[in-house]
Amino acid sequence: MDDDKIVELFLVRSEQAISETKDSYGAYCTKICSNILKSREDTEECVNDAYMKLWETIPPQRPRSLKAYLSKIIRNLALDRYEKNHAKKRGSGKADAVFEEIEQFYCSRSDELADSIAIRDAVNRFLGTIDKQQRVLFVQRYWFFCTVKEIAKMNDLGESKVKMTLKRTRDDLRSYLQKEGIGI
Amino acid sequence: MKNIKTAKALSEIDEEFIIEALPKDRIKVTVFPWKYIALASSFALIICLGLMAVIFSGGVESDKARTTSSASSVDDTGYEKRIIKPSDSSQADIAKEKSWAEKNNSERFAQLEGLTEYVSTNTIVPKDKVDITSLDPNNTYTDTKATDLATGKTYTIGYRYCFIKGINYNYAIAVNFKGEDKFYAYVNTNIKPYSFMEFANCLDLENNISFGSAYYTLNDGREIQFEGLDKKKVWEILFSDQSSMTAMADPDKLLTQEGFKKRVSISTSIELLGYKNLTMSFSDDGMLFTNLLGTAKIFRIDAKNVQRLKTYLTSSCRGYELIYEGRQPSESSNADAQKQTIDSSSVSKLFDENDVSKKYTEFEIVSYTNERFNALTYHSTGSTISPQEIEGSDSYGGVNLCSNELPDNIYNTDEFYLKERYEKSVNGNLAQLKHVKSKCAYAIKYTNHFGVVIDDNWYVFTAKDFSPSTLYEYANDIGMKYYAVYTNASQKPLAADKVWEILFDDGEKNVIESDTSKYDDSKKIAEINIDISVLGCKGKSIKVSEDGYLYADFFGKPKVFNIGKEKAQKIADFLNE
Repeated sequence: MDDDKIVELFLVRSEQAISETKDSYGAYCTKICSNILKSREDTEECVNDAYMKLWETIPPQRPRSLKAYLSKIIRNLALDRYEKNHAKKRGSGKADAVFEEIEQFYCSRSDELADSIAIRDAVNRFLGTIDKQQRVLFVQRYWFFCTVKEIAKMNDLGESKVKMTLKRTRDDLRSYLQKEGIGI
Repeated sequence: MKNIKTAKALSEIDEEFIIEALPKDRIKVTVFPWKYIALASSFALIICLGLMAVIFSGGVESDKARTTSSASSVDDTGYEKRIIKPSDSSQADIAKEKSWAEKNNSERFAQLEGLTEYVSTNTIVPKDKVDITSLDPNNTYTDTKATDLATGKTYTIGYRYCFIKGINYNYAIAVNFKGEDKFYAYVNTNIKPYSFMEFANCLDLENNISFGSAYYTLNDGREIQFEGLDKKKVWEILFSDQSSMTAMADPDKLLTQEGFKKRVSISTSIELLGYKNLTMSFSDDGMLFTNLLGTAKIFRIDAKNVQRLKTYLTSSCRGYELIYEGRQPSESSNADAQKQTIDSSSVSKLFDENDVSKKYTEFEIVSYTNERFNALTYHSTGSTISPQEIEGSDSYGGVNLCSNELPDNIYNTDEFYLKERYEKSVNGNLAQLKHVKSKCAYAIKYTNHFGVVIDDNWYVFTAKDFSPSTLYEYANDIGMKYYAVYTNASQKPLAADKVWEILFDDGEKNVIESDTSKYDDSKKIAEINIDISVLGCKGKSIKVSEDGYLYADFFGKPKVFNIGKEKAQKIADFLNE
């Protein structure tokens, strides 16, 4: 079933919407989630929570891309859980390496909402200035938490090329953020 | 962790960027990092270098120093003598520190901000070796700083970097400073290869290495210098088969605890990266020591290769006995001659500790099919299979395997965990075995984190928790029709086709019993021995009881199937025939 029809099902409050979403994006959600979290149990719970969140937010939301909308939900839920687990020292997932890399271009000094908004806006502006391939690799790595190997495979590039491009983008972003006055 | 906040802030980037980057394919296989990580055991670089200096102080000198010699008479070694005069180090060797103005940029900025793992070798990379295509297309330079210690003044310069053709960028890169057109070599001296194959591939050693003289140490400590080595021949003798050449994780452990009895050393250079007259030293029991890239590395190569090298040197190269002027005969022996003989069993143990096939024994695969979330743990059987038994090699891409040597306190600090997890894990290419379902077994070829193969064997891993619902599924999914070898109680071979026909052809009717105690060994009426060597199953068996239960203990956990009394009797009759 295509996305528009699934969204329609949500809008008319049909429970079939959940099962159709699971069929279409179950594996996809699990993949994103497991990229961030280590535990199977956590991943399963997180994916179920995401379906629930979807149910709660459509309507009033009517996402342009169900896949992207669902990705955002699942990513946020997974990061919340990761943070919670990390505070309890319950281990780390594949995301650790990504967080290390993120720290290379920006490390938030406060929990201020303004800080988050500033970084979001700056990153959006920065992404608009770089070429498409660089941007895609950046988002796949730091948004979808894909491994370098997966990114290389998806984009038909060598792993070295991916690593080098990511490093360059991180360096550029760090300089950009510094110029914007919000860098480290 | 503050960077989680940053990661969360990124969640709100424009949706068009997310849509643009949506992963195209569903990832079929995901492997969670294994939960064990090895005990931290990193040794300081300084110790390594110190040891190298002590152990090789008498053994490896530059070719340049050695050529200050003169030919003389022939002695009982059978080689012409060459007198080595002591060099006057009082003045000439004390190099004057260059001033800031006299230094080039690679000397001034020997380490770069943002690329701290690399160190300058003060060498210009030839233009045809610089991979210009890997340069930042936007021509962006990154600033780095250095301080002139003489004046205390700090300088800043922009730099950019790219690959060196044929060299893995994790090993070395080419750096260009703003305002210059030269590219300088910067080398990662801390790199720890897993195997010689990785080391050789990442540095393209076969093409980039050059050999000078070789030095053969006799049992009494005297040294013979051989000249005119044919690089191709030496490479072929030593490194034509690199598949089993593992690296020692802690070379200093061998150097301190066991000694290293050098027999032959070859003056070795990688001029492309600025390394000249370093060493590759070999012991009789097949170990290779090298200080290429500036840190000690020891690989296990075949002792036969060292023997072949000795034969080649003595039969094909011109040799000179080196006489060190001003030294007593006992002093002429190098430091190694004074060391106790190496205990080969303990050395083997040290290498075994580093054997990836023994260290990385388990991995987990999580598959997603429809709504089901399935996880299977695969265990190493220790056996290898030939590439012919592989179905679509490498088609599943990489998996991550962590060592099973993890201490319990790994979560004490995040930094430790991250560092160790990276350093103590390897990757592997995953492939399916022919005729065997992936839920039962996989073959793995180990690679390092950069995807370079570090062990050429395909190792077989099997799923211990494989739970078939019928006897047919059990036999079919592990490829028994193709791989099983059957014998009776007196070890006489049984016809595989016949056994298959009797046991498994109608096996779909024979369902698994959850209660394994239903099989009563005292009622056993038949037993067939089974070997499935490709899956590492040897000396296993199938037992059948008179009340119609079949007990199978040859793959995974023991299982019991209800086959009925009639079939049980048929099997017994077949064996009696």
